[in-house]
Amino acid sequence: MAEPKPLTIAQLFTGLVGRNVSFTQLLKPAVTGAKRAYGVYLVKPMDTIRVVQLDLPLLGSFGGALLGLPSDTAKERIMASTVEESMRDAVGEVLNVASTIVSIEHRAVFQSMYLDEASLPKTITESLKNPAYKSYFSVAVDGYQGGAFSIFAPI
Amino acid sequence: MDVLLVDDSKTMRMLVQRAIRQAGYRSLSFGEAENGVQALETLRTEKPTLVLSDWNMPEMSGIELLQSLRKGGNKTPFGFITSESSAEIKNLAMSNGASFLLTKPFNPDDVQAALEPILEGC
Repeated sequence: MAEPKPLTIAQLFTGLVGRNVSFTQLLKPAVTGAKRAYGVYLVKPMDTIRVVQLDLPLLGSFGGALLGLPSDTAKERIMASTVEESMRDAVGEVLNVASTIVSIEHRAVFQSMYLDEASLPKTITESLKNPAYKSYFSVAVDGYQGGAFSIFAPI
Repeated sequence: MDVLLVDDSKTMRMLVQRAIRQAGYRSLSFGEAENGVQALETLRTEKPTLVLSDWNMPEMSGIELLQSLRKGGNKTPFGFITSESSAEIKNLAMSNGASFLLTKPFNPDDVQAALEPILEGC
């Protein structure tokens, strides 16, 4: 599978949220201890699954920047037990736009978003234990909390 | 209504509206729909200068909306703003009568370049 380049991903998110975003590729996943969120994509025409896993505060940073919220407010809203509609909609759009870097060769269509690991379907949780492809990044967002971002192609 | 924005994301409808205003079209009026079905309903009574639609939406996608409009003889200029970026999708859009396809994320310059030929004078 062709790998998305960190600069390409950074440009995508910088363009989307209007803040400087940088992606640094890592050999191993960054250990941040943060709760995680997931975006699940269907890659056409084979209908294979691809998954983006990212720190929940990082997803909140992207959503907050889109909505023009201060960093602290963005973090507070994404970490709330019930995420309010505007933040849910904004982070959903962030994951939707991410579909363009999830697959380089084929069309990826954003399917669903999970804001906690417990709600992820078991089949996906299992397949993430030994993915055929994995790509790890550390992300910084100007003025907001950064975090870990990974792309997986489950077997 | 000058522009009908069709997107299931309220955030994206807001961002598109903001980008259009930043591109210099400050006096345009906007209508909004969450999917193709709602857009068709709106277009029964409204005649906007432009329909700007997302591609993937629940109930009725953007391409289904465009096909339905053209089949019914509606020639309103139609553009896509979508995360879909493949040549296949772009060709499908154009062959069904779309005026342009802008890929998300977009900036006001992209928006202006796409809209200028259609909204000239607005």
